[in-house]
Amino acid sequence: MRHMWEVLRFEFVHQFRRRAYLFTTFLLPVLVVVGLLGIQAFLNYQASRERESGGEEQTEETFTGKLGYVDHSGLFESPGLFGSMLIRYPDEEAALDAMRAGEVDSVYVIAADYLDTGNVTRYIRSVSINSMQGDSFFQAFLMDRLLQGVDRDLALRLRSDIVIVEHQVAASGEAAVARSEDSSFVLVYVFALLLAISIFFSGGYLMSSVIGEKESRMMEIILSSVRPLPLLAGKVLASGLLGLIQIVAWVVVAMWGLGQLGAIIPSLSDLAVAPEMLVWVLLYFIGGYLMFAGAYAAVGAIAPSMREGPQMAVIFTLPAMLPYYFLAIFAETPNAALPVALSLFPVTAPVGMVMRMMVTTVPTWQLLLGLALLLLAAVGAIWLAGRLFRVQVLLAGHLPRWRDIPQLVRER
Amino acid sequence: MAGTTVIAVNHVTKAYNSHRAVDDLSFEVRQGEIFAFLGPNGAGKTTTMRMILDILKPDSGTIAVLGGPLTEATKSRVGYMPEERGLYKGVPLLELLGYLGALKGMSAADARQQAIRLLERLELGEYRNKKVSELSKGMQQKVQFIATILHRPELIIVDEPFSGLDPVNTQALKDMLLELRNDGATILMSTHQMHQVEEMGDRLLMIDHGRCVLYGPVDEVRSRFAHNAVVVRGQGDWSVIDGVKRVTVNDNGREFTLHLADGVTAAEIMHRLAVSPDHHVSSFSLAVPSLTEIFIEVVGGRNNHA
Repeated sequence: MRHMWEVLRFEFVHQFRRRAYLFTTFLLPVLVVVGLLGIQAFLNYQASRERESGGEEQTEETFTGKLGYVDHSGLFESPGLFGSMLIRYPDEEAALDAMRAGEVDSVYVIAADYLDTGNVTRYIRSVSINSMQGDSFFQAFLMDRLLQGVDRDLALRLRSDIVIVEHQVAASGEAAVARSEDSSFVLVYVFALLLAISIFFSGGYLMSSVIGEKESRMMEIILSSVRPLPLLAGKVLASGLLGLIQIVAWVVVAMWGLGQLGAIIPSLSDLAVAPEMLVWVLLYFIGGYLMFAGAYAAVGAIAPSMREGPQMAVIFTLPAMLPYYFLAIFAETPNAALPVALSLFPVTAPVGMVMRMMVTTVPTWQLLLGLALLLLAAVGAIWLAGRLFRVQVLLAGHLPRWRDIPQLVRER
Repeated sequence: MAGTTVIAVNHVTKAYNSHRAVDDLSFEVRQGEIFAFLGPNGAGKTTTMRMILDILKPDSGTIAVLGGPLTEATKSRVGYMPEERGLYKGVPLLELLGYLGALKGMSAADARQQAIRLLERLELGEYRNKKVSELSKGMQQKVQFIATILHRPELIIVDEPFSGLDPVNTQALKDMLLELRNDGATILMSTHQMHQVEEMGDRLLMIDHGRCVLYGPVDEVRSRFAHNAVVVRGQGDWSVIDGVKRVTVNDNGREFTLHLADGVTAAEIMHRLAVSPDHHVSSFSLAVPSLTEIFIEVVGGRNNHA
């Protein structure tokens, strides 16, 4: 126990002070946020300049041109509030002349039977984005006029878009709430990536610390004082602690950064991560870390040098990122068979489950089952590492043959 | 306390696959002695030392260290310097020594104090806050030696302690080992430098192919291999002396080994030379073979038979 703490303390202090760790943990997110703030400041500056030059405030859409209209229905005599951008002409001829003269960008002609058919004819000079935006602007004008005298709240409701909250009903009958798609995509991407990177970084530290001790020939000196298992435990805990600090630092910065981003991309501004979800994320991080730590330590034990280690680790890092390849499926149908399977299977669970958690409310039984399987796999991986973390392997100086590994695991 | 057994190796065997690295080996190391552990490369020395340190487990046989099987507590009373040298490259010396001391159960303050004292002693005081990577190879080796004795071990096991050191540093390390021995520590030293064993060693064990081939006090082993011969310097025709069977010229050409006939003693030869007017003798000694010669004779002979 004492040895484990000594190893833990030394490894933690030693790794914590590494420039690469300090940079990726603290400086990198700060740089990202500074970059985001820079973008925001630039956008604010641009917007304020536009306002200064544009002068007046714009109604509805960001439509900038002027429109002409001719009313045959008798329903839209005055442009009303829309007058700054709408000009009414008595007939088509006058309107088209004005358009040719460049007074207006396009001309809408409201048919006499508009109320029955909704027919409106549009004349344009050339096809442009502006003319399309004009359509919705003009529709807003029609709506506004038609709703004159209608109850204010009712008018407001009729003018607004509907708000869709998607409920997907699983086979079990439980309903899951899905959030809007734009924002979930970003969240899924950011959180799952942070989690995976942090797990692989911490596991990587662990592996390089084991291989480094072999390469620097410290291993034999250490082993003359410490048994392999307390050494393994101390290293696993130290790297885990470093990873935890890293992910907490990143999450804090990421949440704040997303808030800042929200000002730039409006659909992000309504994002909020519930605290209980963070607890689950943390649990999956710990489970995922322990499992991959075991795997990394096992690789560290058998890999003779830094060259082989990362190559061998690909065996499990590549499948672990599998949910990433199905990012679209996870974001759109988080409760389909594939995302559910990948979020329960231990190797892909840390990334897969977190990805699902971000876009849907995962049923509690799935969260528990996934975590239980993950912890079971973690115990298995640590056990395997413990079997390989032995003197013959650690001091061997060469890579054991694949067919010898089962025997090494079984040996006394 | 002198004479108490510190290490008792009893019929120990260790095999890797079908290769027997150590084969039914038995010996003991006594309190307060410098015990030399010799043998050609691959003889099983490192494996034996690792088993003594409980880094490896023997397949059969028993090993007692400091009165019993090596426990976590007794490990703190042992210092080990493996042959393969290495230290964490990026760690300052005091921090590194502090960690290794802590693993041996030292308090932080004690480890620091002792580390500073030993670094000063081996002229590394000014490097105490430098990283290992900033030191020369010889300095790194001295640091490793300090790491070995930092916690004042009762038993010190050193594998090739002098390899790669210049004569000045070799002497400094040798002085420290002798000092530690005089202070009561027991030293097990594996080396290929036979003259060091002749100078420092109290007893020796030589193994080959995992088996004991020589074991006993250094002087006794050497005299056991002494042939009936004397080494002389001087002038004269040595072959005419009565009782001299054969004369060989030694390497340097100034010494001659006189091989004596059966039953003739060195004393008789000395007497005959003293009274002979045709011979002038400036030095006369018994021909005791060097450990190197014994080593080559024992190991080389066995390997030729093999």
